[in-house]
Order: sequence, then structure tokens, then C-alpha cells
Amino acid sequence: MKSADDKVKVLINEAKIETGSGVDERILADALSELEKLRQKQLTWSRQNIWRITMKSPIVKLAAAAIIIVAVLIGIYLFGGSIGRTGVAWADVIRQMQQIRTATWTEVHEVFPPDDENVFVDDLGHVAQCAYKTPGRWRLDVTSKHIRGENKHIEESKKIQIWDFNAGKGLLLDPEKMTASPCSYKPEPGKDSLFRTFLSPKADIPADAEPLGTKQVGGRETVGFRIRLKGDGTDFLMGDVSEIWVDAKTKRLVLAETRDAERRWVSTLKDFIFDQELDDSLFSLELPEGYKDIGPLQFMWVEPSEAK
Amino acid sequence: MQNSGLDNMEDKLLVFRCKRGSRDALARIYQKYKRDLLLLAAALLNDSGIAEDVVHDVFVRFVENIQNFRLTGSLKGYLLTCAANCARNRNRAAAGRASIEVSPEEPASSTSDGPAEVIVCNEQLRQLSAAMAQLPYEQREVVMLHLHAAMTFDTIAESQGISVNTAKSRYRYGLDKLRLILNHEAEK
Repeated sequence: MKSADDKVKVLINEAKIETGSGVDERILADALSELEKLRQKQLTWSRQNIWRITMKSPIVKLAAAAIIIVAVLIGIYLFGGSIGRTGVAWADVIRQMQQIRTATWTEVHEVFPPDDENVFVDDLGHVAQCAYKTPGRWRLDVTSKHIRGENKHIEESKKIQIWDFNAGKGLLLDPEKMTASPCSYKPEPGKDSLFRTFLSPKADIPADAEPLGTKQVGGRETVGFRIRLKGDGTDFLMGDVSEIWVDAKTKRLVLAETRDAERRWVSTLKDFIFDQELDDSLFSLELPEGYKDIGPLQFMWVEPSEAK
Repeated sequence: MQNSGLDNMEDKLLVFRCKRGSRDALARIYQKYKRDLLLLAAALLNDSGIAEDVVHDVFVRFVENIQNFRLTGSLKGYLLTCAANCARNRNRAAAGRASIEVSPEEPASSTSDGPAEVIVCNEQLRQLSAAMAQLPYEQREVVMLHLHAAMTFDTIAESQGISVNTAKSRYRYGLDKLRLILNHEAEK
């Protein structure tokens, strides 16, 4: 019996079957079609509920702030490869972004309550001091306001996010509670960062930008561009519009304003300083002294944007 | 049903992503398990064209039911069980129909017209399928599920609605017959 068993096992182990790409497509076509139906259902659902979901989860809330930054700054940096069809000026802007070594700026995120009174929004926006240093290190000091409790009082809270996207690690700090949550994730092949996962490959910053002319910003002559973020149907960013104003001489970012497609928020990035020395300790992922490690966070919120 | 913890973790994430509509996740699941499923179906049905249909049906139904799907064991085991069930139904539907032998290194589909359009089986799979085709279908299923899908007899019995002893008997009889067939082949 054993020899027959072994013989069959060997045969099974050595049996091989291979499929051509046409076969794979044929087999998967209907399954993907079913998945598309599912996605459409989810899209409808998410349009109705994403606001509530976003605001329910503090981590999503913090991440949303970062997404906006990515969309208007690092989004260009990461996705700016395809500039063949662009005008010279826009291509120059992208090139300038790609040369940035460090950057600091302020993000002001304003939230507009929806008309639907059945949708309770507890987020009143936030202000974030942001820092970026190559390669892929970020720090966001976020002060946000929320409506809390049955009496709906306004509460202000501070959180710090530090990310190293190349290493796939992060550290979320709560300076008030003195708690820390280390995070890690596995960067996906071909994807530059967690935010790229967020954006998904189809959410590329468009290569073409609509010129907006010139205007004075803080006493500087700037040139404006409008880009519409394509998203992929489930991203926060789908249809969101960014207006980007760059210094007319240096082509570096001066002001960026992003509005979501449904006019629920506007995020303004300003006070940019580029290529100043930033101490590595700002981006340290070590547990700061006095902080208590409360365990890692899961990144379930990465997933919805992957739906295509 | 052996599966590494890492695999299980990846599968749980893939299923989660599938539930969120991720095409990448579905494609990854397909790429990960397509050979196992095709091989099982081809060995059970001795027809790679129908095996393709089986795997197609498994993935379509997987997506159709994904919202209510909860991964409690291994995804590979679940998909293989689905493939076995689907192959059983196909076999019943085709009862009495002459089987079409799987040809080595040749297109299995009559509509194929290029390398991208074909399923290619090696000589070992041809041998396996041909030998399996000589067993009663119930025995083929138990042998393949136990040896290829690494399922326990308890699990096989449960999935087929038979007793554990019946599953073991089918396996024993199946192996006996396979031994005769393979020895006979070797003597040729």
C-alpha cells in the first residue's frame, strides 16, 4: 500500500499544469465582472457612508490629512513620471518637486458639515505642521478639533505621525496621553509608499494641468495650475481638485488648495520652506522617553482605495 | 490541511481586499491557487477543457458569495473543496459521456489558437489523469483530496457527506487500483 501511496504522491507532485494568459483572462473574466458589480454596490454605499466612516476612526482621520498632502505634493513627486504631453511649465514644476530634499509646510484642513442632518460629523478640521525629508520620511504634528459627548462640546487634540515609507514603518504618538503606537506594513512591489497604495495606480496625478494664470501670493508672483485627481472610484481623492500655485521664478510650490469632489472639505498647504536642514531626530521611530507603547495599529483603512 | 501561518495571514488579507472589490487581490488569489485547482479538476475529470470551466465556476461563485464568506480554515482548502464539488457536478452532468484524454504539451481546448490560449499539461499529469480515469469517480476524489489537497479523511468525509470509514475505504480501494494500473503501465 505504501509504495502505491508513494508512487501516486510522486506522480501528483510531479504533475504540472500551465495556463496561457488567454486562459487566465477567460477564467477570470466573469469573476472580475462579478467583482465590478460588487464594487459598484460598494461605491454607492461608500458615497453615502464614507463620511461617517472616515470620521469615526481617528487613524483614518489622521491619514486623510496625509493623503491630501500626498495628492498635491508627493503625489506629483511619485507619479510625475509621465510628463510627455504636458506643457513646459507644468513639467518644470514636476521636475522641481522631484529635486526636493526636505520640506516643511502647514496644512489647514477645513471641514464643511453636510446638508444631511442625519449624517453626524464630529470632525471640525485640523491644522498640521508637516515635515518631509528624503527618502520617504514624514512627520505630521496634527492639532484637530472634534465634537464630543452628548452635549457636543468641542475638543481639541494633538497627535503626531512619523513615517518612514521606505522602511514601511510608522509611529503614532499621542502627546496628551503619552502613548505610542508603532506601525508597520509591507510595501507592495512596484508601489512607492503606503500613500501610493492609498492612491492606487489608477489615481495618478494627471499629466496635464490646466493653467490658471498668475496671482500674487504673500508678495510673490505665482503661476497656477489646476489638476483633477482621477481616483479610481473608491478613493477619497476621486474627482478632487487641486489648485497649485508655484513661484514664477523658481517653479517651487507656494500654495496648494485641494477640494474634495463633494465639497466636504478643503485643504490648504502653505508656508513652504524647501531644502533647509532637518534633524533626523524629527523623524525618529524610536519610542520617545516617557511614552508608553500601546501596541501596533492595523492598517485596514488602506484597503478601500485599492478597489478598482 | 497544512498551510503556513504566513500563507493564512496573506489569504485573510486577500479575502478582505476582495470583499472591498480589489481586482488585484482576486487576481493574486487566482495566480496563487490556479494550478492546484486546475490540476485537481484535470485529474478528476481527465479533461483540461472542463477543468478550465470548473476553475472558472469556482472563482465566479467565490466572488458571488464573497460578502458572506468567512475564512475559517485555509483558503486553498476551501477553493479545492469547491473545485471538487464543482467537478463532481460536472462529472454527474457528463455521466455516460466519453472522457477526452488530456494530451501532453498540447492545447487542451479546441478553440485554442496560440500559446496564450492553451492549458499545457506535462506527461506526469497525463499519466495521473489517465490512471485516475480508470477509478470510480468517488475513489478519484478521495485520493486526490487526500494526496493533492492534503485533506484529512475527517474533512473529506464531512465535505462529501459520507462517513470517515467510507472515505478511508474509497481511498484504500482507489490506491489499490492505481497501484495495479501504474505497475501495469510500467511493465509495458
